[in-house]
Amino acid sequence: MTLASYSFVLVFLPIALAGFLLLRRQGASVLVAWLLAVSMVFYSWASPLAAIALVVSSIFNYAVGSRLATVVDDSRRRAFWLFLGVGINLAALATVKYAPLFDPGGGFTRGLVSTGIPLALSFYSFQQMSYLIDISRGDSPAPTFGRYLLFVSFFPKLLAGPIARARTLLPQLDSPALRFSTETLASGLTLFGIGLTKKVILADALIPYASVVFTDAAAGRNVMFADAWSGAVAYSLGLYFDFSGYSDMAVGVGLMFGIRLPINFDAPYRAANVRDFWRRWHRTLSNAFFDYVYLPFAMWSRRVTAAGAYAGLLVTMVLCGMWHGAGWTFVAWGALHGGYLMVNYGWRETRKRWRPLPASLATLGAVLSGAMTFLAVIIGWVIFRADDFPTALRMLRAMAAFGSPFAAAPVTPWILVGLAIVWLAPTSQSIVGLDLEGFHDANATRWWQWRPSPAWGIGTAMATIAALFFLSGRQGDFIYFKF
Amino acid sequence: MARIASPSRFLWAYVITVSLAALSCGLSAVVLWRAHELSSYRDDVALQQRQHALLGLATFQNFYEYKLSLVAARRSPVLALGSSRIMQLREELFVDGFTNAGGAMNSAEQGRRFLEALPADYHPQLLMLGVDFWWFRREWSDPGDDPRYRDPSQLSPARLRHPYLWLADPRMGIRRIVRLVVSGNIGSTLTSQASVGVQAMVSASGFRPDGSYQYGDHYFGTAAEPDVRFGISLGRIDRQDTAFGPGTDPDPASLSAIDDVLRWAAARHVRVAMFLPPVAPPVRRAMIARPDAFGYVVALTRALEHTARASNVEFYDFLWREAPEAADPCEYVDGIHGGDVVFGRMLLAMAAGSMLAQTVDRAEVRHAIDVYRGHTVTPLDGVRYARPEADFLRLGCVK
Repeated sequence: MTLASYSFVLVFLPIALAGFLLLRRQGASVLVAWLLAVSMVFYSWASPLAAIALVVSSIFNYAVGSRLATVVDDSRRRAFWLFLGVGINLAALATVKYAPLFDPGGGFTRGLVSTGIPLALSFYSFQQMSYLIDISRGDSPAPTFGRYLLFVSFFPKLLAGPIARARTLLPQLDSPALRFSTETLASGLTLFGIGLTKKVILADALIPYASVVFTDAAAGRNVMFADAWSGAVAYSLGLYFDFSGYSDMAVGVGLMFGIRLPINFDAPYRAANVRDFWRRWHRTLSNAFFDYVYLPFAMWSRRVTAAGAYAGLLVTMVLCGMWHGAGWTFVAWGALHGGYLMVNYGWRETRKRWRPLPASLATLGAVLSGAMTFLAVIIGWVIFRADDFPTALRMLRAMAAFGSPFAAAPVTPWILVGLAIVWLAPTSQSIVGLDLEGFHDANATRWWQWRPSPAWGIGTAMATIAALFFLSGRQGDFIYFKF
Repeated sequence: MARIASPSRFLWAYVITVSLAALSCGLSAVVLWRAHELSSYRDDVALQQRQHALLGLATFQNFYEYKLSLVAARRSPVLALGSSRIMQLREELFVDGFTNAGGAMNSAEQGRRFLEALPADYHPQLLMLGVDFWWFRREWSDPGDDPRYRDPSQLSPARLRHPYLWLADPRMGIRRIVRLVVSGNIGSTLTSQASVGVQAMVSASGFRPDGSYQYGDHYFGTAAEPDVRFGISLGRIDRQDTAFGPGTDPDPASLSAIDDVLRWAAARHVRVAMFLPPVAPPVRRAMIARPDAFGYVVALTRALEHTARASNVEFYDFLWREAPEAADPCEYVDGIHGGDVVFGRMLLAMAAGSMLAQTVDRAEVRHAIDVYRGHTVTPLDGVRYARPEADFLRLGCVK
């Protein structure tokens, strides 16, 4: 069951919400118990074994976290427990993610996949490691086990994020009823409708088109220049609408229950440079990598060499690539973005020594920089999407027109619609009037911004219904589930 | 949050809109469900075989998947495979069991896929392979497979619209829809057959239990766009659109797919009779008059003859050679679909001195030809039609 499925929208969510509303005045513990129960049902729906694995993992991490909370002032014991906790999470993650590399017959991998255990493991493992690090730093409250388990398993964000940090999510679970209101319910419904529309109408129109082109390339067929570009751009847009749509839906569902989840996308294809891109794309993952990998590594390596910051960027992004899956294309994608960030870092260091540009040149520079960033990101997505290096090279060669015939572009209108939206339209959160932490922004008063009027109620309902119609026969799987 | 004045008004508007939509969709879905329009093909085929019914869904069409389910359910010793152009081959004309998988093969490659997709424990003893000339144009593309439209149980917005359109259709209307919901089947006023699906109920059009097609709305002269004096087909030749587009030499990939089909058959000791189905005589003449566009058909015929000889299978050309069996325009459904009598004549010609002699019920075929000469449909299955066959092509045929 995904957030974009009939079983979720028409059955699971109404029941979960109705129960929540009925129990709303029964106290925080009852509400936490209800949310925990529905989260477990949600996850068990996919695989009961996966739910058991999640509970076992949570018990282990909660125990380590409780231990860490008592030894915050003892650096040696703190380091021991932190390494133990993070190490075991990493080992479990690596075993599941990288099993295919060491299992040529594929029997173990198939068995593992059939249990359903890999589903969501990356996300909840990452979240638990962040909890352990935060609690070792004294940055996180120490919750009860029930609240901790809900922090890990809260169903809207369980399968593909956003990755919520303990210090922002756990305090909300102390008294969810106090944070729920008809306002959060109404805005949550709106954000959910926007996300569903992005996923079902936009992403599902673009991804199949891209798949045809990438499949041709994987089969060794000659891909033409225009097809290659159309496929690459369609995939870039489709991936964005798919994942940001899912994130909007997750944040929207959270809001319906009065729980604020962080915003995961902030118009990434309008980024001025690659550094800016990573502040806007999958924000919760990139922020976590920045805090837990880049900063410690850069600070440590700077003591050894001046190039520590550069090395930190490369290592962080390679690890980020590896987090996405077992495949050298993911490593290459991470390394490519690491390279982009190193160039960006070097450029910024150089620019610091120059005089500021005149305003007209600065504007031109910003436009060029934005265009180059978009291009660089698309090239990265080609490697990310390709099944293997020969496929990626075939696509990139065709895009560079090397040995590839030029033909009239069969550009689907969806690509033009998608480009117009990612470059010009307001983001989902700005329409609903949320800041990047998922809280309502009191300054959101523009004409196109959401307000709780009957017209918006009717419009939101009709958009959701239209998306549900488009959903028929697709039961939309999300691309990011496989990571 | 101060700017949010009245979220309860938003919620009421939301709930009312969703409720109205849910109600209208729910009503529509109930009508579709009661009409068996939402059952899986597997269930529809089971019901069709049980009731010996005509299956014609008004809101969904995937011949490939339907025929796969049908063939798997019937497991007949004789199987006809091809496009809609062979759908008038009927089980009454054969001695042994027969299933028509016409409509499932709209390219050579799709035919190969169809045979590969058959149950592993079934293969026919005789395969009648109808081949369309346009598959061998290089521009002809394989229809592929869209998982979104594989089975009638997959609901779509367009399908939910239909029951509301039926309200304004004089053949249905509110009273028949209510009867349909209550009884689950309103039968057909046009024939004595049991019906599965609304198209079968309102126009007596659909697949018979053997997979052959009954063009009820054509026979009765009520089809929306009959091919009057073959004007539509001849216009397509003039415009050279879709199937009638020009070709140069036969596409090697499609010939190779035919080779694969014959290899599939040889590996299972399945006898094969391959044939080019006819087009109506005026259409054939118009094609021959355009060697620039249809010259490739000559090369195709030779290539198929060669392939058939090499694979030791029988081959019959009813398309390009002057075929007396296919010479009466009154016996056609339209410019490219021969009727029952045309196919009866073809079967007799094919059975003369060939392996088909023991398979074709020649006495029954001769009887059908004698009785229904000049007609399109031969009601050999005992179905009673409410009206006589009309001169729907307006050729002045005496019916």
